[in-house]
Amino acid sequence: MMEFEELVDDYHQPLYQFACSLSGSTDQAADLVEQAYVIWRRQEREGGQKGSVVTRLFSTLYREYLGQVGRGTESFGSRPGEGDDLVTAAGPERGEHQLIEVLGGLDRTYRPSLALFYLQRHSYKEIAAILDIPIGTVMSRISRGKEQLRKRVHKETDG
Amino acid sequence: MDREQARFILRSFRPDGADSGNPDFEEALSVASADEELGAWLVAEQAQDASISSALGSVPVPGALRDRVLVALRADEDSGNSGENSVEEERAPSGGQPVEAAMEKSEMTVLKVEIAGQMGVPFSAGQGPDGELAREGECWVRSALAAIFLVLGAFVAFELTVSSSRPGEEEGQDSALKDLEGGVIAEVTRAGFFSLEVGDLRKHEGWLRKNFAPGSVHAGSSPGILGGRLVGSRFFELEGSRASHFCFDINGKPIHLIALPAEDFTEVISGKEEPRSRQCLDTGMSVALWPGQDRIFLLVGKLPDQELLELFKSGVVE
Repeated sequence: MMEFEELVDDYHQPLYQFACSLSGSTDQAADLVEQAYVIWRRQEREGGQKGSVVTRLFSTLYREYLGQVGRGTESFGSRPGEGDDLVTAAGPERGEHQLIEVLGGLDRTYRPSLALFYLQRHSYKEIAAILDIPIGTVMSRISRGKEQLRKRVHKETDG
Repeated sequence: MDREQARFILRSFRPDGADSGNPDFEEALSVASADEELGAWLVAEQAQDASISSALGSVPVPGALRDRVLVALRADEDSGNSGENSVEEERAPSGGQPVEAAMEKSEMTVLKVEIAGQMGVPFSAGQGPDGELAREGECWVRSALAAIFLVLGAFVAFELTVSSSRPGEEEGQDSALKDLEGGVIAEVTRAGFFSLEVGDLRKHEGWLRKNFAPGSVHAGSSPGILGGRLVGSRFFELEGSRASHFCFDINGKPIHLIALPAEDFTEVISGKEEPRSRQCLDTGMSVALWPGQDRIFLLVGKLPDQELLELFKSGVVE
């Protein structure tokens, strides 16, 4: 369990921030982090896992998020800001919340790559491994995502 | 490499300098150093990236998340161990079936609920095996503990013995109802967490309605249900329909209220206006179903099935 504790200590924060960027919901982000660790641990028990622990944790969280999108339980984008009044105690401050909302307004295609890029913990090659997409695609999505983000920020500022 | 190619590559260059030694960026950086306009763009880009990174890195993490994850990991670890035990038990004459294996059966007309030893522990914060965490008094910790009780304590394996099926029921429709009940039990069993674990019932209802799940149970539920402490709520998909799941702590026991849109199950409940209930005689786990006009309500909990039914009857559900 000591090994778990270190992994949780080291990575639950960036995982949560990544999950917030994906889902836009603090509730869902916390759930995603919890599920990512549990699923990761189960896979560890089964053995045969490749890649670094960190990459697998982020990758597991991302896949779980995709699963929720597929099941229609994802809340961001289509229903932004839901439940915010219920999670203010642990929720982001206004500035960070606005950023998350802006990130959440991006195309779902760009959001994961851009969030991982801004977390600065992973090179674009590692991002490619986490998202299971080609390196060139990551670079392209970061580039286009930034463009879209810039337009949205300008729109928010002008509006 | 021209300016635009370099710009494209440098957009993936992290602002904290972590990529400085990466040869993949070498050529693009050299183009930027020789191109004044591109160099200026890179400086501005890096400043903007740093600012966004800083904001994202400042998103506060719930202080209790770390412990919540550890609790979940420990619970799962224990669950994994007990799963091995249950396999051993299955080989013995009196052994039960693991939950997942049981749920994979296409026909689930007979369910048997076996309650693990933990079920004897009162269902309240601070008294479970992880009581130290619960004493922190945070709602979600209680809910996490509740979830662990559900996963570990409540349903290790099940086979709900028919105790009060009504004579004369059409076999096919009865089977469909049982499948519906079985699907709900399976979801309750699988639930490892609640999406919402704070606030009063009306807030939960509002949140569920926003998520297109049946939300209005407050006005219709009985005092017996509403008198319990709301532990959490979530929604899930059942046969393509969105269901609401509320968990109440009623006299120290977890009671689950599930609401389904009746219009999606008209064939299942057609002609069924009376509430029904069933109980596993071995374990005391019961399920009660109330087919209302707009919604179908189900209660799941470890109570005599008639008591569970009374929770419906003590108030006007519809």
